Amino acid sequence: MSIESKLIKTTCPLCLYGCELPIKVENRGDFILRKNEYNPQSAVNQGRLCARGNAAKVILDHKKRLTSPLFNNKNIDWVIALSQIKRQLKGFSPGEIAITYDINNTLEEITSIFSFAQELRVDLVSRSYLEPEAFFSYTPGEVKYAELKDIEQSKVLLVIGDIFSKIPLISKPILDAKYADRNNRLYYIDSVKTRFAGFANKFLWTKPGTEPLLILGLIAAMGKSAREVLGDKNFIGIRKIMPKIVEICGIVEQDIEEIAQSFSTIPKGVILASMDFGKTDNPLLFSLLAQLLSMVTPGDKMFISPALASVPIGKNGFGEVIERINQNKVKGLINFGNNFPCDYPEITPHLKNLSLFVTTSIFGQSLPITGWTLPVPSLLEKTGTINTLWGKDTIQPLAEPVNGSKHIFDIIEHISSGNESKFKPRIINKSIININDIIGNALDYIETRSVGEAQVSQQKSNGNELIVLGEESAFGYRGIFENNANQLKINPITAQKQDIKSGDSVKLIINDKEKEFIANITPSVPIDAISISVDTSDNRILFPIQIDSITKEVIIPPIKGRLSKVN
Amino acid sequence: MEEHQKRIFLDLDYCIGCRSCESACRSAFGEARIRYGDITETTYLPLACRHCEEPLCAAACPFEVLKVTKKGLVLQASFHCVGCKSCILACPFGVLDNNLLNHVSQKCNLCADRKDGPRCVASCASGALKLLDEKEVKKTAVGKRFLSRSPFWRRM
Repeated sequence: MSIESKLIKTTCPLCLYGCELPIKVENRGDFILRKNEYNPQSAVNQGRLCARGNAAKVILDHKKRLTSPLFNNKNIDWVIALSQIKRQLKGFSPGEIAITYDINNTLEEITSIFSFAQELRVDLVSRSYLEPEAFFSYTPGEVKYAELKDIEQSKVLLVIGDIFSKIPLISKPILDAKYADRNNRLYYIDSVKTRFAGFANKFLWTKPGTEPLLILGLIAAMGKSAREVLGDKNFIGIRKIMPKIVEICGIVEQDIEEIAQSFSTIPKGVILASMDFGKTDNPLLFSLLAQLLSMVTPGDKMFISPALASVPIGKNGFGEVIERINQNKVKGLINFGNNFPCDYPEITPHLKNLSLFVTTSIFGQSLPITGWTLPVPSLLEKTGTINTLWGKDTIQPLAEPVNGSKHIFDIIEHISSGNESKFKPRIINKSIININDIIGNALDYIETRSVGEAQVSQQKSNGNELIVLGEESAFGYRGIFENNANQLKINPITAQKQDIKSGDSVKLIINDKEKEFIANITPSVPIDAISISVDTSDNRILFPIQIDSITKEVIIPPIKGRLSKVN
Repeated sequence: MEEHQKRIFLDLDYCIGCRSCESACRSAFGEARIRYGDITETTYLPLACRHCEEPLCAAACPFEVLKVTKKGLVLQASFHCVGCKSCILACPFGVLDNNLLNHVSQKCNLCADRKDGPRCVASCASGALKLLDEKEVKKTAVGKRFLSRSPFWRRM
């Protein structure tokens, strides 16, 4: 029997690094076999793929793929579903509807979603991308962004946050740059001692949630060049609080000075920043200060973050959608995404007031609220343009759309009325925030941090409260490997205080929620903090959401919780 | 090991523990044939079959399912494997996984079905896994930078 086979090359859509993903598709009659190929000639990844990329094809035949529209988790015909949604939509005024979208859409689909909002005259258009890295869409001004070759040629690198977990492929250019010359320097800032710390020349182990302050300290240490960009008043303001920064972060001042010295004397460098879910308590400040640091460092220093090339902001943060739903102003929400709100279970309670909830999804997970779920193809089954860190790229479908799914274009065509509208929803790609405001916020923030620290120490003596941090892994994508979601990392000193031994079953209690974990004693987490995996929604639900007052984006910060041993 | 026989080598200086190698192997064979070892609490390193010159796994196999080829590869005839796990117990490096897939032990064959070499090497995200022969190994500073760093750093 002859086997039909063809090689399809696409750009991996699972992160923004833009790896070439070639798949060999063999038609074996009864079934289709898909094999990963590795092309050493590919420009970005030279055939290399991360655990996610290698497992990407599982999405195509995943047993949980949604193949029929659902209403309240019951199958329903497409024609009935679309006509009912269209009819229900007519019952709302434009101000009562919100339209959201996540990063699992092509740029063409996002344009179509904006046109749909324009036709409905809906102004509340927002991203439903709730990872803290969405905050990198807010910028202090003209930031010089690094290209791949800039990382490879860097002589000094500062990495803030565990970027290897977000984009494992970036490890090669970073380590190549570090090893190119023995004088090259790699600095790393994080509140958890991840594996990355082992590669750094210097690891600054800052206290949980204090990364923005440490970056502020680095800005102050830059001296003259920082003064030129920030202005005298701002610069002197930060210099004054330097001792407080050092105290709160728990870092030796000489280490901050050493990094600033390296960045001042070595001409070519790059700053890479990444944030984790449940690890950063002020992602806006983190993002702005990290970008500002690249602006104030002398010489040719550039910035990169794993979410730089994300989708446009829309008009405002998703927090505004939640606020308006809670105020009963918004009664209908249409979301164009992959697995919303199941990937963000902490959002679900806020959606219960909606009269109409429509979401597109690739998976058929049961919705905990009343609403419609419409099956759509995944990014691996679509054609179109996506953003990557290095610019726009096109994707090719690796397979036909899964049976029973409809493209977003078709869904929009069916539920739209076809009326032309001159109304323009407010759409922005990036939002610029004034430097004076940033420094003002940072100085206010340091006051709250010091109060926060005092609260933590008080609680330590009163009740055994610990800071619960979220940790993401490079291989945690949709349970590719054995699930480490039930592991809870705890420092040996904290474990001793709490009389916990490795392998013990412990119950983590956060407000009214609790979950059982297996204790894993490791010195990689700070004292009086614990860390849990946030790769799965089971653990994500433990973290309550907050809304950022400036951007109205959703924040999922670290939280305090208690541990109790399970007998 | 003869010069033409290439083997998987791990450059400790580059391994970030992303488990891309394991994922590549699993996507091709259904189960990862490259294992992961906990060297310390925070350092995990991939463990691939060494294709020993005198393989104990082959010696332990009661049905001669494992054989050494002329090229020095230790290959397994999966069809005849009864899943007795003798090879798993015999392997001195612990690279054979205790879990059986379809009642057959999983053994690395250096992706003999792929002319460009093992998938784990091709897909290694940081370029830590290399396919080298003895001559190349001598020229390569595999893990020297890792050893020259503080030996306690990674153990923290």
